[in-house]
Amino acid sequence: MTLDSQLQTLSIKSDGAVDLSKLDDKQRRAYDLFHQANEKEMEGAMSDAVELYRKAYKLDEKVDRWYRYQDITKQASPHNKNTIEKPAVDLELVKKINVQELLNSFNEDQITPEEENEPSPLHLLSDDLLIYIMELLCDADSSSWFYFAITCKKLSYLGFHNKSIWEKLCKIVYSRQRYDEDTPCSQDQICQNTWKGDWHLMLSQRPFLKFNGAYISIINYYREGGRPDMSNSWSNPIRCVTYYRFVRFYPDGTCQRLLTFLSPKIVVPRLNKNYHELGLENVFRGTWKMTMDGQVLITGEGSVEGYSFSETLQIKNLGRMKHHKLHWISAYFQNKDDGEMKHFSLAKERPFTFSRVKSYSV
Amino acid sequence: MSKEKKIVIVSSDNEKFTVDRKVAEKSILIKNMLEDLLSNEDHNGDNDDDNELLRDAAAVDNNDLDVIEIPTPNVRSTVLKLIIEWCEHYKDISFPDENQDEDSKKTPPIDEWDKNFLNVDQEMLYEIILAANYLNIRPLLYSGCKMVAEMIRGKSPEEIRKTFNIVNDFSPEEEAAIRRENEWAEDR
Amino acid sequence: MAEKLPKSDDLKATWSFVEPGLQLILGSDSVATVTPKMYMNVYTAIYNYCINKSRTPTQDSSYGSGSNSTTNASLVGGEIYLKLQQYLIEYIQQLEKKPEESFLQFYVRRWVRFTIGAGYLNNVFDYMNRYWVKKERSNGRRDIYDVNTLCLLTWRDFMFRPNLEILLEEILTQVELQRLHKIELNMEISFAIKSFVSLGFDINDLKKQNLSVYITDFEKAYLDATLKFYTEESDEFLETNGVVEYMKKVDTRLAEENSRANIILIEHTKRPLADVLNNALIERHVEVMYEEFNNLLDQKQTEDIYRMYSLLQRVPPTLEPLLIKFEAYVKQQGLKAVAELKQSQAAAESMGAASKKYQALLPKLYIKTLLQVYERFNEVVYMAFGNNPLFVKSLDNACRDYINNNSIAMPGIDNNGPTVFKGNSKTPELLARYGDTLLKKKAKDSDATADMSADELMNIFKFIADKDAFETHYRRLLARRLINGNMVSEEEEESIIQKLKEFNSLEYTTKMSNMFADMKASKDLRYWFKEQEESDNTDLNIFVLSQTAWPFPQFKQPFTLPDELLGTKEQFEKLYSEKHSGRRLKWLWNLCRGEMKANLARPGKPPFILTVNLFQMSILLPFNKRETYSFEELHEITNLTPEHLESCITPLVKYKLLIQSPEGSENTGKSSTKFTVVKEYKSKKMKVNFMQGVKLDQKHDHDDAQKEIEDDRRSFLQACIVRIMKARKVLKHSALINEVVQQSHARFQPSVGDIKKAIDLLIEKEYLNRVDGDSYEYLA
Repeated sequence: MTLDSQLQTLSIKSDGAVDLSKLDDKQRRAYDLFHQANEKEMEGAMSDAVELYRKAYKLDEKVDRWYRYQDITKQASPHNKNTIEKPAVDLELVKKINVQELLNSFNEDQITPEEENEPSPLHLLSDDLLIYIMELLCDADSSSWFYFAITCKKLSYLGFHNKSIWEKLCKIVYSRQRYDEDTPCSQDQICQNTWKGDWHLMLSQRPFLKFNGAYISIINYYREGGRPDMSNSWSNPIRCVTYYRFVRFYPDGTCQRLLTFLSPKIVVPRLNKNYHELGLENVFRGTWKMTMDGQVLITGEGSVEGYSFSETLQIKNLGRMKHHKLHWISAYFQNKDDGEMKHFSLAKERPFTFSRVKSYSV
Repeated sequence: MSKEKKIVIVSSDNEKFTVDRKVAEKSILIKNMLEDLLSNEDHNGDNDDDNELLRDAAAVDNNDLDVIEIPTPNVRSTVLKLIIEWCEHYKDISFPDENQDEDSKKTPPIDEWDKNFLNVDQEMLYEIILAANYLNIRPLLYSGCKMVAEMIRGKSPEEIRKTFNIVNDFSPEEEAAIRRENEWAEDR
Repeated sequence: MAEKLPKSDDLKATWSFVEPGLQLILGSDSVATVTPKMYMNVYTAIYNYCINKSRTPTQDSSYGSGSNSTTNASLVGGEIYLKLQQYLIEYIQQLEKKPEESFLQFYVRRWVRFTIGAGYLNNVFDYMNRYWVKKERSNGRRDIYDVNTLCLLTWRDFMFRPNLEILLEEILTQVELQRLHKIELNMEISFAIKSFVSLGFDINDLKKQNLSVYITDFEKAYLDATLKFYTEESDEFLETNGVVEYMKKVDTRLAEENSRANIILIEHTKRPLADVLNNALIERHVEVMYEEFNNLLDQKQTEDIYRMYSLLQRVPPTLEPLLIKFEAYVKQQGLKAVAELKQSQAAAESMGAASKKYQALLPKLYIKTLLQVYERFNEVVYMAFGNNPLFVKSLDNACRDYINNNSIAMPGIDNNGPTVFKGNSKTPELLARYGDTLLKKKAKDSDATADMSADELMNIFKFIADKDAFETHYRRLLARRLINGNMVSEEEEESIIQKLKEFNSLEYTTKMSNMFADMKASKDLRYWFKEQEESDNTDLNIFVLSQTAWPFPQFKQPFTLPDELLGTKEQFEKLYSEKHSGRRLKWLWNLCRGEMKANLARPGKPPFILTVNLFQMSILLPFNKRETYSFEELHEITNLTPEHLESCITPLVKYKLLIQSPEGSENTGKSSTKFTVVKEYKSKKMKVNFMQGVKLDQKHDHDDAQKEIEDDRRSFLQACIVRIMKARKVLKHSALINEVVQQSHARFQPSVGDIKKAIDLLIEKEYLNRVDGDSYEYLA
């Protein structure tokens, strides 16, 4: 498949809905420029678009990434409204808070009722039972646990500071990972041996793949476009081309990979086992497994028949978001008949970033 | 073997409920107690050498009693009545041993009968949960807590606060900091 | 006891509320019983205290503080936990021994009661177990235990450890008294020992059994005491009672220890205990047992041998020397038996018994002797060694030795030395002759073969090293049986060949099978010939035999067939070559015989039937024309060599058919001697056989067989080498030798020299080439 041939038939659309409130001035201007450039490109005014793109990149070289990332998360997370409605927060102050100490200081707190004459009915339940309920929430989906525990000091103390919740999460998460070799140890032993029984530490340090979303890599590159026949411009227009890699992992050890110009907004809701009926093409199936230290090996079909395609990726943190990113390590394909192997260049590839997708229940 | 004893469970407000042993034994607390207190009798069956030692050893002897009264000082009669109704319903079902804590314990949906049975006001639901916990009736405790979990699921923090009459007692910075620190664990 | 439940936030009140209940549960001497009410009250009080959350922490508890994860909840459980732990310590420390009981009795009495109480307590404190203990443990606290475990650990630290020495000593004393049969086995020790098991814990997983306490504090001491006891006892007993009695004693002791172990010990100890017992009772005394072994074999004490075997079998390496001894013994017995046979035969000969008769009897006596030794020890292997394959192998080795190499099979060689076969053991030949005796028609009155059988033949055959030699001899004898028509039964013959085929290979019996096929074909041929022939004055019985299968050398001596027979011979040759063109017939005149009607009887009596060989026939036929011929004349007529002619005439003279003049055997071969046929022959029998008198050249026959064997071996080796080299192309000398030896194994044991000779020959013939000094290369 050549990227150019597909490009003629595709156009990239964007509604451009972005949470602008969080950007500083420079970023905002970059954003605006990038947005305009995008509009121009849609209209076919390529020279203008390129000029605008250049300006935008000058202000912020990562503009394209957060521009599109915002675009995805915008539609992926339904609770964004809540955060937007929040009163202004002093970020510097936030960064100074030692969260563990803070949580520990809540140990005497009780649930304060909204309507003072009527205590919260939860008050009836003992701590043991509240923790048990949180464990059940973890089983259902982690968000429920998180939203329940973030409601007040008492519950955040029980929900975030209590090791048995982290144990529960660990057991859910790691039992669904697929390792290249069987470990004879139980989760308890692994936790005991490597993390001294600290489940929270284990979950934050021991890599795992996430299944309730897709890993997306956004790649931009420039290329010279053809001059229109009647044009008498001296220079050829330059296009900024964006394409995406998607990977969705499943706990059963399979995965789906897709390389496309289609934006996440189109791809993500369709990237499931019924992708074909939903109009996605060139989705390649594969299998995955990983090492204990988070190297993920994907093997499966690809764009050429008779060859098997393999990619090795390393799970990394994305800032505070643990295990949220996949870095490239290697990629190659192999002739199934004679075993001949060829490596791909990774020069243009960008890391994958995880995006939660609500419909990807697991 | 012991002949079938009558079990009478007494509520905190002194109401008495006569039940079959197997109904009462849905409560692991009561089951353990009956086994402990009546163990003498089981041992009388075999006349090994160790029996002599055991007869000396166990100073407990409830064999003369035909009726065993079990007080439950923590359970009101209205609640106890419901608990016994539940136990009656499940008397012929044996639940799997709870001790097998696997890494990925299966969490089945709530039994339909339980869902109906627990369709009571919040306060009564909590009282049933408390009693199930106190009497150690694991499946009922599970269903009860699962009911509560269902009330929480799919709601935003704000909606949860509303449902349970909870005030947000964080400062904005505290809340942001705790979020920052833990939100990554939502994804899996 | 307080009826009303204590306030749930008051630790002191809660504890003083539950304490009297604990006292009862753990088994105070009070007669009061634990009631459901008390049970529930204690449980409820603990429960209430644990779930209460609005309380100010009490001052008297410092449990678990300092840890970052310390929380209100953990404090609550910790307080109760600490109280309970203190209570248990005090309770255990105040337990007292009654004056009349031993410490062991006290310990067991209290232990049994305490473990029951611990079980109760675990249930009464169930709520604390379920939440607080579980949480603390999952948070990595390894010094917090469920209540039952806590009880046992407290017992371990405050009752068991401080008294371990006296406890152990009393247990071991009891065991020793049991061993001395001074007291009966009792359950007390069993309970005490099982407490060692219950007191071991795996800190990381309390449900897992951990034998550390049992192994370090008990098992080692027990094993040491056992070793000491039996070392002393066995030395002393052996000294006074001897090996046979000692082995019986060991049997009993092992059974005793086994049943004791079943009752008081756990599975883990069985292996090390067995090692200790084996060492003390068997390994240390193994030399004495070996010394006794030959005696037991001499006295045929199968039961004792079995006992020795089953004892030594417990320590497999100790069987090795026994195997060697057994093999040597069997071999020696085999050689001895053969030597005795040889001696008695020599004695009989010197007594003047007809040596010929003994010669004839030898194969049977010899094979019987070999068999008796084999059978005797085969039974020993079965009865005393349970057919253990190792002993079966030893027996086979020994048998192979003495059967192939003994004073009869290889006279003049030291049969006790390591056996080197050169392919000239007499055993294969004697076995073949045993078979011949068995299968040949015998004199009417003889029951000489009644106790012989094909199975016996096969039993010895198994051990024959030179299978090819047996085959040659057996085939030669078979050929004679077939030609002479003196087989007992064809089925019997075929069944033996079938067995040989099964024991060795299809190839092994090919020639013999072909012989049978020739016999059948000849029979058909005779019918066919009879139909073709018009005139019928002689009754012709012809065999057509393929030269390769049959062991008969060509007849090369001069001989002129009498005219009377010539016509028939020529007619047969003509008809046969018409039927099978390209086949060449060679006549084996020396194997021909016939019957002649002689009208020499008194008038009125029927004529005599004379059985003669063809040469005798050709001598007698001329007497139809004249009454007297000189030796010279007969020589001219028959064209036989003088020696041959003489040996054929001798019986005719001896049995008075011809009258020789001058008389005397020294004159028989002189050319001028005259022979005259009698007018009237005198014999009681109507049928007279003159063939038996013809001296057969038996020595010659034996040499032929030996030559055949050697020729066969040479060509076998050559074929074998070529086959191997063809497949391998290049091979080292030693590897080639090995493969050849391996492939020849089923037929004979080739010497390296023979193989080398074969290789040299093949190099000469340019099949092989020497390369790299010690390798060979195959030349296509």
